[in-house]
Amino acid sequence: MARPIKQRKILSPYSEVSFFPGGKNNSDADSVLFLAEEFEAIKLIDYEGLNQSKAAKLMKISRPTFTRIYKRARIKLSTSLVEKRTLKLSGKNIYYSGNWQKCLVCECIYNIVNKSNKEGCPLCNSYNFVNIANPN
Amino acid sequence: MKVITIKKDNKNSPLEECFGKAKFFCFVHEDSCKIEFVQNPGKDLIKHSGKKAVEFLHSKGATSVMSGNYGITVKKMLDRYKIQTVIIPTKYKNLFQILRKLNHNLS
Repeated sequence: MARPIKQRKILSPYSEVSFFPGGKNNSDADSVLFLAEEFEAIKLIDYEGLNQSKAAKLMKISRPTFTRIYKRARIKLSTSLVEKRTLKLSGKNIYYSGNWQKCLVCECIYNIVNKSNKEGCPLCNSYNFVNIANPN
Repeated sequence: MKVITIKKDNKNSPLEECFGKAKFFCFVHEDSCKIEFVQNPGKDLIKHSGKKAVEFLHSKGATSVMSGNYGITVKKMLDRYKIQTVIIPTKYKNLFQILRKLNHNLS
């Protein structure tokens, strides 16, 4: 039996789940499924300007695995741009760095600084939240 | 004190997605129920603008920052200074909507 896929570490959660070309929303079948690990790879390399070995260390995966993820991410990104297809983010096999919660009322995402202090959402003061530290 | 990243120094200002590149910060003083607009000292820097902004906010006594996106260095510094990180969804378009959510006295 093949070894199960190792979970990838994501530094900060993302608030959006989809990107639409020109406001056009394609059907689910037409959209490109962009994994959270691919989003993180593009962010670390192209946005933050890190090199691949440093980015791989941050995601707690090997450098060759990171290269494969990054290559896959670029193919999906270019497919979405050229074919004008919706880019849909999906969070599989990931875990977030730190203790993150999502408010179900205002939908903001926040981290817990003081674990002993049980405070509500910093935006709407609601106690209706879910823990998203490990969304799998 | 809560801090919100904005593009202009008024209540109808759009929110700034990128923490370090924000032109202004809106300080929300919870004790006195007052808001204050302060220019980001690192807004014109090409590099390390986020670092400068975090150090500035730490010196001002910020407890929580609200923005759309944080860089790696910024996130690490905020964690070190024990400043809470809040990621605001894009459905909130301007500062007024955020202040209303914070139940702030807008008069």
